[in-house]
Amino acid sequence: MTVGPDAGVGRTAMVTQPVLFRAGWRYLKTFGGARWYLFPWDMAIRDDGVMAVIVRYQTVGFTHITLNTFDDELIGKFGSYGQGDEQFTWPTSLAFDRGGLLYVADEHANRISVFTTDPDEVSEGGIRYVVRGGQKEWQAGKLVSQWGTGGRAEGQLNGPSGIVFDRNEDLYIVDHRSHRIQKFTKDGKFLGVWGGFGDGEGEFNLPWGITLDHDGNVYVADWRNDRVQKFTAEGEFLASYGSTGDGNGQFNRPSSVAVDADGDIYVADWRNNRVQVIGADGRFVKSFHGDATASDLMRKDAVNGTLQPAMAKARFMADDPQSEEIFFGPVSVKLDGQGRLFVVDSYRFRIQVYQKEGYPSPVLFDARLESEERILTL
Amino acid sequence: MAHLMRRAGFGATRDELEVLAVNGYDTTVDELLHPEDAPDVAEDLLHRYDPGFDYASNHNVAASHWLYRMINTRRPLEEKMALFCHGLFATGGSKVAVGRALTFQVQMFRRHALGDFRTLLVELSKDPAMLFWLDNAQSHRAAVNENYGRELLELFSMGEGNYTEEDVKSAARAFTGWAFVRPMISNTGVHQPDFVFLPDDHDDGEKQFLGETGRFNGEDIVDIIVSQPATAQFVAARLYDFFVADEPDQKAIDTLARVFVEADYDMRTVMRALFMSDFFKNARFAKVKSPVEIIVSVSRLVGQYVYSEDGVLSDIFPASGVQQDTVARSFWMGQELLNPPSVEGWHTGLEWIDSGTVVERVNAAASAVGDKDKIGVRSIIDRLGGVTKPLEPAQLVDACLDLVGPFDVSDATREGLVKFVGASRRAEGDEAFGDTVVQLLQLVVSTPEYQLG
Repeated sequence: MTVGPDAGVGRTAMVTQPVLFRAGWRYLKTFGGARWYLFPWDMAIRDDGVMAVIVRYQTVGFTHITLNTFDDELIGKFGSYGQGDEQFTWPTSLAFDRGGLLYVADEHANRISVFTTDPDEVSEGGIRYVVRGGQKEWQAGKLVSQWGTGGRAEGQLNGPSGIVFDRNEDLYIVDHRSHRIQKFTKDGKFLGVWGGFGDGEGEFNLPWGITLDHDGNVYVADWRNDRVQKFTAEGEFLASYGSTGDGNGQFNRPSSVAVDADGDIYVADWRNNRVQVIGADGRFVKSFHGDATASDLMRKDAVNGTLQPAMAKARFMADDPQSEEIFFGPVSVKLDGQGRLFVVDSYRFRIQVYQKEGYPSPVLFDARLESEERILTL
Repeated sequence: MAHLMRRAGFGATRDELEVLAVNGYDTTVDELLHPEDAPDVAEDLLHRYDPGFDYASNHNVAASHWLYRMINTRRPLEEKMALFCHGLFATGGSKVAVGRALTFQVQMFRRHALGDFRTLLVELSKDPAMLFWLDNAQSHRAAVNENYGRELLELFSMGEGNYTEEDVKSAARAFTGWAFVRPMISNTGVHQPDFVFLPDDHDDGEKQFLGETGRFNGEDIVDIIVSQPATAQFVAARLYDFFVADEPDQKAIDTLARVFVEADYDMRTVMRALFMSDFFKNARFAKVKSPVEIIVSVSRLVGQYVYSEDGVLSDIFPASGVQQDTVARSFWMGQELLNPPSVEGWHTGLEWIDSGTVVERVNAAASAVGDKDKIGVRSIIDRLGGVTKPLEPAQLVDACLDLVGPFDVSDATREGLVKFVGASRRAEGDEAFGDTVVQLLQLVVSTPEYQLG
């Protein structure tokens, strides 16, 4: 089944599920700025609201993970660029398990690294240092375990990009260079695989992000096929959303996908510099293009007079001070349990947050109406 | 064919040359002249694996992005024309601190360098990096800055001695009001600058320019410049120097200039005439390779930093190593890409070579071919080892020169290479054979002859 923008027309069954009245997405706030994140690449939200963010600026070897609160307070950071333990080469995605351990996929090292981010467990007293290049670095995370072997055989990893836990805390991994989805236990025991290279149903071309809905169905950002595919938990194909382009419901290299409790599908439409919402029925709902304001950290900088003089001058000289709010390289979308949408706005070094307002109505109705009647009824 | 690919591109591997040979020289020239028919570089992959590329915070990042494009392109002439334009309309990171602005300028060169020369000059005059680099954005109706008007005439189109100071002033007045929207630079990074025409800041008065009188604007100035015989000579001489030989040949330059005028200043037609000419075909190894040509051609030869179609990289981009291996090496050899020493660009030919840069040139090439794991090196070893009868030292040397070039070396150089092979092939087995080939390759790319393109 392919679900397109018109897929909702011509439904003939009694609607027995609550109908969603969407009241919109309110822009909430912006995190970060160049001094805090350089090229944020993915994020995960701990149950207590702490946000872990991958920073990946490998061109200059600036790669680590930061931990922040929702109030933009930096709790700490850990990791560095490299191939050793507690280092990352091309970190791609993050996920917390229920116990608060952080799983990090590295698509170059072909491994999953597991960290504790609880200060008490990181070290006695909560503070732990490592010395690298003569510099003492505070490490807010500590490696607990790591697993993964590079290769194309089943159970081996060939470019792990997106990762997500299911209800049993098994881990789905997008093994992007082998164009497949693999499933493992959280300690790395191979459970299953599906996919392969191509553009047919259930095939992929360098897939990237992955998420689950509340029924456990799997959604994959099929990056180079410019679509999102939906599967059962076992990998049976259910639906495909989108095609190549920049129209509504079309994508240009979608990198990440998230699904909320109402079934709305959020897609980071990366090369189109927007985030799109697709309804559970496959119909286009909305595009986000960015609404950023100053982050708390930036605001403090401005108010406290710690803004760099060069930056202050550039602001003074700028003819176009308003261009700041829009997305540039929105690479990842994440949701928390409170209906908040987090957009990792990578080339602007920040995260933009929206609050969804939607009301599922319990009223049932008969969808078997001609379109004219529907209009009259309204 | 190898000569054509060295000049119109950055060299071709033996596998590529075999395909091109079947197509024939004329067809290959046609294909080179129509880059739009070949697939573009997979920018999406570059940006997926290296987030910093799209943003290009400074000229070094922009340069490493460009070098990756040169290495991976299937439109070699498109990149070579852009490199030609970059040398001619030299704009640099020493002043244009925003790497993206330089990337946009190079993209503009890709779009227009094989088209109408007038359009190219108009687009150049509107390019934000250029508007900043030569101060035209600071040139106002009430306070004219002559920098761009002067360099447009002196360095970009006609050359000294073909215009007066009055012409410079008129050109500068005509370009007043050509500016760019100053972008925000903040905690959210650098924003894109866009061209803007400010009518209130434009001097619309009458001007005398190269013997003509009128209320000229920038486009009119470009039209008048391009129609001057001096401009055809200038462009032809620069093309000859970049694509044909370090030593000028006035007869050949006259031919190119004539074609340029007859073709109504269409660059594609001139380039076709150039590649099809006898003077081009006879100019094998008549140029010293530029540092960028060395870096890119050797990377293509050994298959480093190469993307395959399914997105698999032959190498990891090491952090900083990208710049160490490509951008910085080119800098050490005397060519800092996207940051030329001045608006004059680089001095080429023998001036590329001095006792310091020659060591860098040899080291860069020798270290790249010294890695047996590189797919291009492996392919050469396999080809040389795939014969039924083991090759004699002289045969091995000739086969190796053929695969790397093909190119000719002096008798003395060849003798030295043969002697080396004879002395080093004592051990038996594939491993030892591979080592010998690698060392031979390192010597081959260290020869004086390899420095010529």
